Amino acid sequence: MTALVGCSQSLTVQTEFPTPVLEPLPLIVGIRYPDTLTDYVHHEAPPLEAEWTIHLGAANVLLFDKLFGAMFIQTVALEQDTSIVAHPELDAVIEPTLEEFEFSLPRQSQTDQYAVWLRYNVRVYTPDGELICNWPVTAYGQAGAKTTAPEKPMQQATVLAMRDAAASIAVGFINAPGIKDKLLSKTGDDK
Amino acid sequence: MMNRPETFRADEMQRRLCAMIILAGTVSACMTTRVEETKDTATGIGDEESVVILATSYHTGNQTEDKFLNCVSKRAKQGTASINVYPESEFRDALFPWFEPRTAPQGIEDLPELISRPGIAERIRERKIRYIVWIDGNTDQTSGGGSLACAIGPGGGGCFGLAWWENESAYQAVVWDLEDSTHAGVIKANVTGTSVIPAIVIPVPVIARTQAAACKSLANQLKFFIVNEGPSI
Repeated sequence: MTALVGCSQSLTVQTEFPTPVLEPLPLIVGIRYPDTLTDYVHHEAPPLEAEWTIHLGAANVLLFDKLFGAMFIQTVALEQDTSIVAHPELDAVIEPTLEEFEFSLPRQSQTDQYAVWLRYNVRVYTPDGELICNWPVTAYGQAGAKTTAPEKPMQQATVLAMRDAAASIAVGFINAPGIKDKLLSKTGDDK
Repeated sequence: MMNRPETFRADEMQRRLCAMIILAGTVSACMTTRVEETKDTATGIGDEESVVILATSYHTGNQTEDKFLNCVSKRAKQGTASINVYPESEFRDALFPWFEPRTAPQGIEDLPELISRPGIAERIRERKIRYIVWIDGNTDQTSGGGSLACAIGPGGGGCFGLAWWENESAYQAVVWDLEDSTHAGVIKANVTGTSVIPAIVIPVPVIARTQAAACKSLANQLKFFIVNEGPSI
């Protein structure tokens, strides 16, 4: 038990996300990644289990670059302090954040599964900074325990949860609160 | 003279061990297998066409093991009436995000709308995927009992007792024909088996490998289901 508690597991989520098969919305969107998303690290020490440190920042950026790149006709990467005035072509600005990350280990759930829950918030702003929607997206992934290192199923469960979130955003974006009324109707008139 | 009893004991142990190994090798656990098939439409597959075998979503409570899915895919590609199996992960990636556990079509009635989306039909056609096979089910321990105790001391160790448990592997494969978006049919495999570990000094596990038996039965039936154009026998 002492050995178990004394151990620690460190995981940097590394994967390639596929390009979504989507018809892009007729929007030019600025994408702003806050530091809390790009540097996201989850620390957790479950009782009687090894301490886990999971680095998700780089994977978050890869995921949203692929996702938003396929969802809109054009995306513009914005720095945190970039003035929107410099980008008059933008129809909207999107800022995703990762609000919650939880996992359960096989011993905790009494199954052979590693499970991961995520909650992203997708904030969509007009170019002049008015909040159009603050959309929480919850996601889940699970992977069977393997005889190899526990990092592998944890990584697999995390990637599945991230893909689950991306699927929710891709499929549900146009029905998110305010998107049709405040964003798509306007661009429909303009373009 | 002093060594004789120990030699005797070593010989006796060796004989028992050999007997137990032979027993374990020759005695197989008792299993009951039931396979059922319902075919709704004529099937058949071209030489270059393939099937993709996917697990039903865990969002709906399905807990099909990866090991079982891999086993069915592997067996479907081998032996008599073998079929081409397109890799599951490559299929999900190629059609991302439409076959993720959350977004995958739940019923055949959802398929035409999905296929009509831009890019979906083309990607399926390019990969020559004719059927989607949805696997559902898992293996559970349904009962168990007995007791087995082991002890070790300076003179050696051993076990005594009898432990048993019963496993049930219940799986079904739902086959969709992508050529005309129809429900081609269902194959069900149900295997129950009792494993026992009798032990007189040395435990001799006699394991009922129900999941492996279900995999073999389901994969074999699936191959014939797809390859034989008419109703299955």
